[in-house]
Amino acid sequence: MSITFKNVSYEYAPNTPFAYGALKDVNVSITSHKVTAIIGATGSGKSTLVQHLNALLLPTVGEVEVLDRVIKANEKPKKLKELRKNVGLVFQFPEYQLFEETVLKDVAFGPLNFGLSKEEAIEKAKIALDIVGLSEEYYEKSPLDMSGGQKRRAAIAGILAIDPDVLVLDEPTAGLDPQGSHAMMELFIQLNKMKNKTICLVTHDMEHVFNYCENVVVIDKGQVIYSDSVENFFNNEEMLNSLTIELPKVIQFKRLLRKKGFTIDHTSKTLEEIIPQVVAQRGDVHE
Amino acid sequence: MNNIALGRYLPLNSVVHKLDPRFKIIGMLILLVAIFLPAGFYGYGFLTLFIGSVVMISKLSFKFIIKAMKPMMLMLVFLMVINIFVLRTGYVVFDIFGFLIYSDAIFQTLYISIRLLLMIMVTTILTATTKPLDLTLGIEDLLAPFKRFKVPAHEIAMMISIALRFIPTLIEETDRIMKAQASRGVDLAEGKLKEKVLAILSLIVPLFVSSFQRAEDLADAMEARGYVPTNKRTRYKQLKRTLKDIIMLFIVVFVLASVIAMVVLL
Amino acid sequence: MSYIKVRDVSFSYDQEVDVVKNVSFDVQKGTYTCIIGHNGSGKSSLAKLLIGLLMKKEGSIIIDNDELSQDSIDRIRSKIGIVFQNPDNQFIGATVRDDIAFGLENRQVDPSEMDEIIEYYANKVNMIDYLDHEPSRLSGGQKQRVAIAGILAMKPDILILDEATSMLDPKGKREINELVQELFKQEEMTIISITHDIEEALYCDHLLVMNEAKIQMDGLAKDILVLQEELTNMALDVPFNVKVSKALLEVGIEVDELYSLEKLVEQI
Repeated sequence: MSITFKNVSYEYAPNTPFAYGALKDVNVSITSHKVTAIIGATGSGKSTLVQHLNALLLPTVGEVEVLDRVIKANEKPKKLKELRKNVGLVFQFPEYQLFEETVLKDVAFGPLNFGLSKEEAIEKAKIALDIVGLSEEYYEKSPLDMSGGQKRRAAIAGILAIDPDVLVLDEPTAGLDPQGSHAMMELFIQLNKMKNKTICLVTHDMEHVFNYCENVVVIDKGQVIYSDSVENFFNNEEMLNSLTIELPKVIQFKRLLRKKGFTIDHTSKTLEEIIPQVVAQRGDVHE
Repeated sequence: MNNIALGRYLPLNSVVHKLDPRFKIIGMLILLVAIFLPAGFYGYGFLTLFIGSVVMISKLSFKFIIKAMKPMMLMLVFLMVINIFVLRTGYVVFDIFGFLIYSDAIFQTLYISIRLLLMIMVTTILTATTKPLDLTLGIEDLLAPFKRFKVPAHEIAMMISIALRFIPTLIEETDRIMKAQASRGVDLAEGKLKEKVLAILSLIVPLFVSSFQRAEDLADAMEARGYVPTNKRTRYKQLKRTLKDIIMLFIVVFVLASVIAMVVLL
Repeated sequence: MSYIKVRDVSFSYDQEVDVVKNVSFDVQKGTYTCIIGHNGSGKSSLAKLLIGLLMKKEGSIIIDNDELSQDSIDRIRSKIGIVFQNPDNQFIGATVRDDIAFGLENRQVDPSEMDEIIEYYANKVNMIDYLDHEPSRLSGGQKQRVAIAGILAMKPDILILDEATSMLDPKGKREINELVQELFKQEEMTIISITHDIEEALYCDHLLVMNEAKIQMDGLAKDILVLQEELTNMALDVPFNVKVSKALLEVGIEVDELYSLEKLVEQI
């Protein structure tokens, strides 16, 4: 049961002089229980696309199938709240949405809105905070009284506490330092592996796409121009050349090695996998 | 946002649009004085004709003016009702099933109404034909002579212009926060009062917090670029008066003089 | 004679915990210095201390033989320009023109001369076609370029970049990095870049590593960035080329190229 976009177009400010077609006849499927990256230049339509997943935006044309329901053009879906409960959307710089007196209360805000009792909401909040690595000592702190990285984790916990089946994140690692960035990506992989959640990641970071994602969807000027596994993507010379992206360092390394005459396995992702191949073939290449 | 007519700038191409904001502000003030004089029937008729012509010269549609007056309509009706019950002097105009409506009630209401409506027309002409930033420059220049009385003309203008610059940014941010909280289940349509209050807090608190952060960052940036509010500084945008501005001012003063004459002679 | 001399500077926000502790370092004129460190290590506070937005509680900061104090602060600020992280929160003017004019207004430049100066610097940062654009119509990278133009218009000798690209998309990051490199070469400015980008740090003349309010390492990029273990312990990443060199060394292949991956592979 995946997420499917069928002939979806979206227009901002229709019938005004400011009308702008952000999505044009998009047809794409996002596989359930996998980690999918959505990439594209700024302004290509990535954010517009993902906002259709929890019906923050409704298609101007076409329909979106999410979980077991269909979102039709310009028609607000019934049982909207249930949809929002099952598809959690985390915006860029989510720390800006913190507002409650304490971290615990803020994280419990989501579950409360979806009908849980106060006790249940607090329970869910504690679990979520544990997942993001914020211990008990943070429960009673003011959310505004923490470091940037901690605030970000608290904000993400706020969505995790709702326990959605689908987790959509818009540039979750923007502005984090390298260590914070890796920790956050590891967290999403955990959620995917341990809890079988479908993860959708809007990102500019090709290293993350390469190291953590299974599938990739490429958007350009409002259209989906590519949708396949990450492995196929990074082996598709034509596609890579047509995009102005910074290739992951490992890919650059593999390319240079191949140019020199080495045969490096397509599936090799880490230095640990590549170096032995270099050692083995070095003698031959030097002849 | 687009339905608010009062206070909105319309980028059209009229003579009035091109006039110097300082002169327009002074002109408006002079007309306001004229409007509040007890001008009588002829006086108000004259003023209405004059201001109506200015509206046409400014290429503003009357539909737009009426839209600007809409908020006032309810109040005027309310006023009429009160006056009908309270003012029982003059001659009887209507007799409705024994309930008498007197002339003073009607004329008083009409006078107040016409003053209000003319006032709205005049201020709407000003804001519709002058870009907010130009208006700010005009205000700054007009307040400048009052600096000796400790009026912080420049600081006021700086605050207004920064606020104006950030309006689109704030609107975008509000939208983002609403969407983020909607994703957490916030629904302003449903819920008990307590839930609605919390929902509104979830929108307002983040806006305030980010605005304070923004203010701090801006202050740092301004300071780093050498801004000291009390220091002398020059201003890139200079307002230039032309002959048309002076002519406009003469016309307006003439209108005021005429109204005063009517008050005295009639 | 060092252009910038920092000696035993400490600073605290709440009088309890020092966010900058006994920091000392020198910066030579016309060099490109990078300061790296984990989030919260004190790097941004250090940048603000250098330009007097925060006042040190101990120590001294001497810039071009001028000691930073309440008296000298205006003089020193005329020599330093700082670009902050958030492109929106440093864009003051209603349009590109107005924003670049802001600094000129503060310096009491004659309004009749401003247009020429504004156009010159807008051109230098490739924003000449956007002079009457409002910030809401500009991308992050464009806004940062305007910030740089506004700063250049005041002709500073020193440019501090406080994580100026961390909120930008890859395109914006590239734009700004290229612009700064160009300015460094053409204008012979002294640049201090506070950054997360370990790859950028590879190309600087002088590298400072901050860790928990202190300067942990101070020297050349090529000497510091090979210390993989130490850097990892400070929650910092190591450039990819260094990782490759180490991995190759472990299996007996020696390479000594640090900067270009191409040249490195040539040596295998």
